[in-house]
Amino acid sequence: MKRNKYHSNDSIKDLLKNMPDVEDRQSSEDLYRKISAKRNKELQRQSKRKKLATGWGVGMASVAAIIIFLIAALPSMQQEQAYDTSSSDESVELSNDQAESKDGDQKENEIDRSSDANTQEESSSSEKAESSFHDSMTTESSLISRVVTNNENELHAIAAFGDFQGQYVVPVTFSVLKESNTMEQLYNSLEGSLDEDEWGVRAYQFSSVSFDINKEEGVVVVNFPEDYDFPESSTQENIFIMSLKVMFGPLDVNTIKLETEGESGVNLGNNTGLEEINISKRSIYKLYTPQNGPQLFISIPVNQGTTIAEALNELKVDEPAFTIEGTIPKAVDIGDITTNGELLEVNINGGDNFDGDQQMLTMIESILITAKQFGFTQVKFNHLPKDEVGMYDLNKTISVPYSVNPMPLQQSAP
Amino acid sequence: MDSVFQDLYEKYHKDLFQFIFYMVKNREQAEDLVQEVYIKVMNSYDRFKGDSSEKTWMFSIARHVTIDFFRKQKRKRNRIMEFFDWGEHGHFIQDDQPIPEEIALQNEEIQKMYHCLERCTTDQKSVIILRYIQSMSIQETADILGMSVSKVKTTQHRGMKALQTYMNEEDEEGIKSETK
Repeated sequence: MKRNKYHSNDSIKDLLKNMPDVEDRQSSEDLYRKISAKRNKELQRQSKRKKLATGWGVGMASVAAIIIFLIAALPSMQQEQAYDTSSSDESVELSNDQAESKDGDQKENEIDRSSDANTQEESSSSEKAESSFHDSMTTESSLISRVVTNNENELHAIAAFGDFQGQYVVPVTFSVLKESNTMEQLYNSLEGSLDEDEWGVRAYQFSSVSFDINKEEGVVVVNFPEDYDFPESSTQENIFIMSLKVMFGPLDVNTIKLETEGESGVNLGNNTGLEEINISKRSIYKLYTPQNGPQLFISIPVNQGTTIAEALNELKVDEPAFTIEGTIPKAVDIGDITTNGELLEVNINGGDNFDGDQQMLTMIESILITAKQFGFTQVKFNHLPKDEVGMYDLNKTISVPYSVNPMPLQQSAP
Repeated sequence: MDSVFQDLYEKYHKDLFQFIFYMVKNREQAEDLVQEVYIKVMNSYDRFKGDSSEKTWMFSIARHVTIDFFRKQKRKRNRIMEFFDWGEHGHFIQDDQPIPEEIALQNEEIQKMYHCLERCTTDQKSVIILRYIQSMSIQETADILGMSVSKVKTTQHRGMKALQTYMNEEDEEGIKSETK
């Protein structure tokens, strides 16, 4: 029989001190991506609410002004009617005016009521949105967003790396508050934040390089030191050029000028005296799945003549030799695609075949960033099985993101 | 903003996660809540005045987030109880949270302690976790929990007494069930 052991204060303390460490299994990168996605979603909702509130504010003010005007104008109009009985035409006109103004009043009242109702509806829907956001804290916690949305308060800098096979380029994006940095400072201070081994990519090639960004002229000058080890093989050269294009593509830059110690031109293995790179090259974004490392979007160039429909269909194709997965599931098809200026409308067939929300979210984000490469700024998805996934309201058009693969900046702002 | 995240993560994440985990005793829930803590921290970092240390500020946010979570859980539980009309017998609903591997691998006494912690009040549990599992000072604990030092001492004393009672009760139960 077991003896009854009396627990003293000290034995309780000892037991508590020996309670094991329970560690978070999320990596800091995963955690950061999840937080970024939730913060983006929250910011979007707040800005929508603010816009709606402003809109209603203006509307209400106009309605109030009309009502005040009518209240002030009606008695004097009635007075005029009492004194002036000479012209029946005018009387008719006046009574029409009154009728109109009564109608107007009624209409305004209706507008007023409906705006009240709408305000109530809005406030209840915003409460709903708020509560659904808080609810989503638990249900969406496992969803990983891989894009960086445009945020007017932040600057973003992109670093690009070759994948292990040396075929394509994996960009990652760092963000800081605008007031704490300039774009140039940010691009020139990324080195301490890079963790290539952790991310399963090749070494960053531009640590010893300085970037001079002139957004007005659409030019970035990349200055290499004299002892820079330029790529010699055509594969390395390809990665080198693609990396620079991916890094500066979202800045609306047209040309990347290459200099060595301030002198124009660099000597690549197959491109002696290369002075500049034209940035216009289309690419699509699939999922890079290295054995060790997080799954990141990878930029895959396509021919200049490729259409958006061809590009989206290409997103279905896996490239196992390069540990790359297509982002559109096999059982899901891209149906009709319609374009209207910068709006792309994508009809999805077989939307019931998604294997969970993460798969749908990855597809949506991969289509969004791919659409951006083809000049679209908005995308509308039709026939998806849900109204909302991650931070996206699927009933509405969605703005294309700025870039992909958010990563935390590991150093203090310079 | 990102450098803020990385800095805070490196300095406090392990302890922060540990605190939330022992409060809610569910790994997935702790992962959710720790995200919520960082969102709140990053959203208000600019307004952090440095009146308290960064550490106590983060932990007090974590404490509020877990208390909010408990409130929501309580409301949910009340709704369920009302719906099924369990009334006063609601406490018979089993707490079937999975025991994490780290605890399951420990000896029987540690596992008992893990269960007994759950029987303490939220304040007692908070104080005991911070003071004995995370080895924080009485002053740090008071700052995090928004309590006076003497309140921390009283809560700690009562919590330890309660744990002693619960642990002894658990032992009694074990002996009874063995003799049956």
